Amino acid sequence: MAPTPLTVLSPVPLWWSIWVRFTWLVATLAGGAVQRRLRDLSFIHFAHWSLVTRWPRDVTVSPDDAAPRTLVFLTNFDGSDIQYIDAFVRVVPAQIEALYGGARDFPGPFRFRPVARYIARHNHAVDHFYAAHPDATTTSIAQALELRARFADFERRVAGADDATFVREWEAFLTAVQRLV
Amino acid sequence: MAATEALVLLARLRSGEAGAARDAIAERWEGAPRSPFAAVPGTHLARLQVLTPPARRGRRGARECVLLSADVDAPLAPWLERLRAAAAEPLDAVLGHCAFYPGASDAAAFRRWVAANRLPVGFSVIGSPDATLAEVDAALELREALAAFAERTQGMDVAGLHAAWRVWRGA
Repeated sequence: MAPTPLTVLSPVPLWWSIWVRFTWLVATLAGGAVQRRLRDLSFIHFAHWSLVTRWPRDVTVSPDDAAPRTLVFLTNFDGSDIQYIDAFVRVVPAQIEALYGGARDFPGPFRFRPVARYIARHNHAVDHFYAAHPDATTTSIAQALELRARFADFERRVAGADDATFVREWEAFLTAVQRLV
Repeated sequence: MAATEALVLLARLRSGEAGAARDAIAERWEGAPRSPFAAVPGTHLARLQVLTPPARRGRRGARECVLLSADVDAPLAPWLERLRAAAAEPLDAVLGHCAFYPGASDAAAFRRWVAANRLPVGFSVIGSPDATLAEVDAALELREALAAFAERTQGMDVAGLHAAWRVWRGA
């Protein structure tokens, strides 16, 4: 099953946009510690947050009524959006509060149904989505990459080995990587 | 340097052209036999959509934009040039409805337009391991080939297994 994309737009007041930028700076300085809990959920392929401080203008017409500041959330994940939202609410509510606590009409991160309703109201359907490996989950990609690295080590170990040594190494290798294959 | 980089492009549609842009996505992207993104090496994930920005509280609405985002092999600039070269017509079919879009035929003007409409990413979570698409391709292929080899050689004697290994790996 292909990854699921979501595009969520959340208007935020000026003071919250300043706070959000501060949290992103802290996250950058923390060297990945903040992202780790989210990454450990193991079903996010890529997730990005951006802040629109002024929507693109068409100078040939008068300015329109777009909210002046909007948090843009683009994510791609394995499974359904229900599973995704549920995991966020259960596992990383503090991180969600830090990003969305001041967003307009955000109901708080602790209860699944209000969060799911919020996301449904602020989600914008993706018209076209592409995945290079639509059948590969984040976990299977990680496993395949780990397997590739271990396989390279194994190949080096058995280069020039006699039959008995090769088979012994092969059986040990298969046992070691069985969860990856 | 990280193996991947993100592009988020947000461009205003000309008044009244949102429907035409959506139709172009439906016909030239979603309805194409193969996504135009597939013709651009190094594209992990990508999306294209028409969206309406949220309105100011109490106001009625805002004019539509096109969002194009992608997670690609770093660095971004060569990927953008590959996208422009490989998907010029489908890009023009959609982005041609955006204000001041110069067309994909002029590489420099296209780059400038993308830079002017690019939205910086503030925070990312990259769950996919830090690998290029070619590395992911190779790893998934190896995983499949290894599983097939293990199944094929199950029960072979010592000499037979080693011989089969040499044939498979060209050793």
